[in-house]
Amino acid sequence: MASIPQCHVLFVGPVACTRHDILTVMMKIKNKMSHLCVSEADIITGHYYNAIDNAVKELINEAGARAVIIITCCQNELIGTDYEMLCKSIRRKFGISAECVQINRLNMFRASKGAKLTSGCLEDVLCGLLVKDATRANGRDKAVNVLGGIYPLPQQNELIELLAHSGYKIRHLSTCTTYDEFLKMAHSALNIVADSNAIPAAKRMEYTFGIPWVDMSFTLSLDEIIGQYRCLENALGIPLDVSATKCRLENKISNSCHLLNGTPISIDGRVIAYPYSVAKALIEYGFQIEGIVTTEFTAKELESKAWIEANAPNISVEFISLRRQRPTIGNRFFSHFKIRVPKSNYPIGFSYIHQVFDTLAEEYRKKEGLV
Amino acid sequence: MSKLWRVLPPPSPDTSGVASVFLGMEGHLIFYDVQGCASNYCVYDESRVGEKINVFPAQLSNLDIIMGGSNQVQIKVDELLQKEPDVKFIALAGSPISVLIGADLAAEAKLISEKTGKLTIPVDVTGELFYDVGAARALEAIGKYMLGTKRFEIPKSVNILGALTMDMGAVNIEDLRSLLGQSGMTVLSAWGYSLSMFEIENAPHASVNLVVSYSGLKLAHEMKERFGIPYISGIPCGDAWAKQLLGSLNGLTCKVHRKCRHNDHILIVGEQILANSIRNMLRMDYSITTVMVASLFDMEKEFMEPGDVKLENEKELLQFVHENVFDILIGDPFFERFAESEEFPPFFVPFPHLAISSLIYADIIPSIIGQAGIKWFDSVLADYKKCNDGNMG
Repeated sequence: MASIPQCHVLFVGPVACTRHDILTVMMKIKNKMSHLCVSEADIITGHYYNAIDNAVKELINEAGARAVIIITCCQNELIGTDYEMLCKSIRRKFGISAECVQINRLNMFRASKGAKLTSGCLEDVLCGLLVKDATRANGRDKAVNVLGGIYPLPQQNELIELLAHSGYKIRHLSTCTTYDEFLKMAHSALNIVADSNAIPAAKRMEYTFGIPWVDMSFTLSLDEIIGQYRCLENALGIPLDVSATKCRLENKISNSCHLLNGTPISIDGRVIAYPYSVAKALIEYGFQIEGIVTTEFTAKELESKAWIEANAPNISVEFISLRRQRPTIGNRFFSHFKIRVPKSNYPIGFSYIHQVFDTLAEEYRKKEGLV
Repeated sequence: MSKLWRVLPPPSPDTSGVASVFLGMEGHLIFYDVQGCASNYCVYDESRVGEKINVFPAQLSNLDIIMGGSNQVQIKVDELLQKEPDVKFIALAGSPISVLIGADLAAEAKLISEKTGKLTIPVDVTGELFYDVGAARALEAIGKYMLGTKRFEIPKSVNILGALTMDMGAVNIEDLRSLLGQSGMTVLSAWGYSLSMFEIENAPHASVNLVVSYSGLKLAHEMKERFGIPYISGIPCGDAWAKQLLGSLNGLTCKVHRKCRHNDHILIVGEQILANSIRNMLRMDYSITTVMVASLFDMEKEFMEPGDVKLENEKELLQFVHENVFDILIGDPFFERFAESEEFPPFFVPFPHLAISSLIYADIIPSIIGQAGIKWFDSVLADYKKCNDGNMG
């Protein structure tokens, strides 16, 4: 959320709650996140409304905030805070945009019933800022938005060159340098969803600004990626020739498979996104998968998980809780060799698959002393 | 007073202080809280990752809050006791939720005790104060409910009070135990550091208590009142100061030799007793006289010197640093973020404090006990000299 330029996140709650995001704050988004530690008296007397006002004022005056996202805690929920009124009041008093994200651990099941909680609605909240501040464009810019993720698309991603070739530039939250630049995202011709969590945002922008969207979220199936590019072609009305890229990739996969020659591979979900889907795809390409380690299970992987259970029941699957794992987990799952594909690299298009197989072959050669 | 933290994260809460004290003990700690939060109390501020987790949330839901949380707390207690029936005690700690609905922790604890037959200790925290307060209350509660009444003094024996990994790091606590042992003392217990029932049982027999953090002070007062055990506060770091402190523990007097050095102005920001001890080391081993101590956490007035200051928030810290001239600032690595301002002191010495920077820099907490303190500060001075020479060149 703090990727939006000149937008500040204000976490409001007691110290016990606000300290939760310390690692993110200090390591990743310095100076974009502030914490307002309220007391029991603030909550009971309603003084926390004033405290939020004062904090927002300080963020505007001293940090140049043009938008704030307020994160609240169980306590605010418990006393029945009217979040919409809170945001409206900030917008009215300070003339900036404001959105609220509710954290309510008192009722974790609300998320499954569609309530707006942090998980899964962040993109939606970002979009909320856009919806309230941006104007609906008469014409569309020759630009596409990439929705999802906190990093820009890596330069080697083929999407950049393909779109540039047709005169389209790519807009992403992380590449906006000013709030006004962020608002221009409302004028783009198309939204490309790079992460399925961003689908609500894409739908909302389609409804509000009439911007169509295509889903290009993660898949390791070459045919599915071709299908995604066909959708992109149709949406933009431009030809996108990816046949050569696909052909190169097929050769690369075949060579890697030949090189590894049945060497067992373990997939570690701590260092690679979507471990079940990766395992499924590798098996289909002819690789030998021995085990999967996973730290979380997402709905997106449901199909791949079922496929693995039905078609490769001998693969060992271990779930490891991230909680307190730091020094206790050894590298026993890397008994053969390990590949590391940064999660920050977008699993979108052919480029990601290229990287997976490049890394796989490179590490194997290192291990076998072939380099 | 500003409650907004913009440069630093909010420091460790009282709930983390409680969790740190109870972690590794032979009982269960249950927070009167919602689900999910207790892991944070441990994960962010606890370096003893090898310890078995004995800290749990009661997992209250909306309905529990409206209808009363007792039932859910009892369910959680039963669930835990079913898995581990042999635990020696249960501790019930408050949270931002319990304080908001006015839960009577003492009554809840009594109820649990009656139902389960287990000693149940209430720990009154709110999640709104800092870790030092929570740790102090936890230690006090353990003292109140678990210390026996009989005492026969074991000569040359000592309890370490307030030994929190969050302040000193586990290495320094272990080194402190060793140093005390080498000096002829028997360490009966280390309160705050995986305290065992055996240690609690023996604690009243100590001839002296060594208070190593503010969190241990109230317990020290309590033990002095109940058992007549005298206490001394400080951490034996360096040479002369360590000798003096250990000498005091042994009831001896000790002459100190002072080396002569230039008179730098130093500010130490951190836990008061740790910072005071470093100050004593700087004075006695390095003859650096102008050393001020500041802390974002509670400070004992009796131990404050003129110029020392209790800071309420990051703004006050920033202001204090800017309004006074210091050559060296010793403090958590996160304080270096203030260096973005132009008037920041020229030389910064990182001394990680888990209550500020969590586990991010836990690996570089320096060893300061005894001679290790000299080694540490010698290297600091060497870097400082290099930095000054570089600036002059």
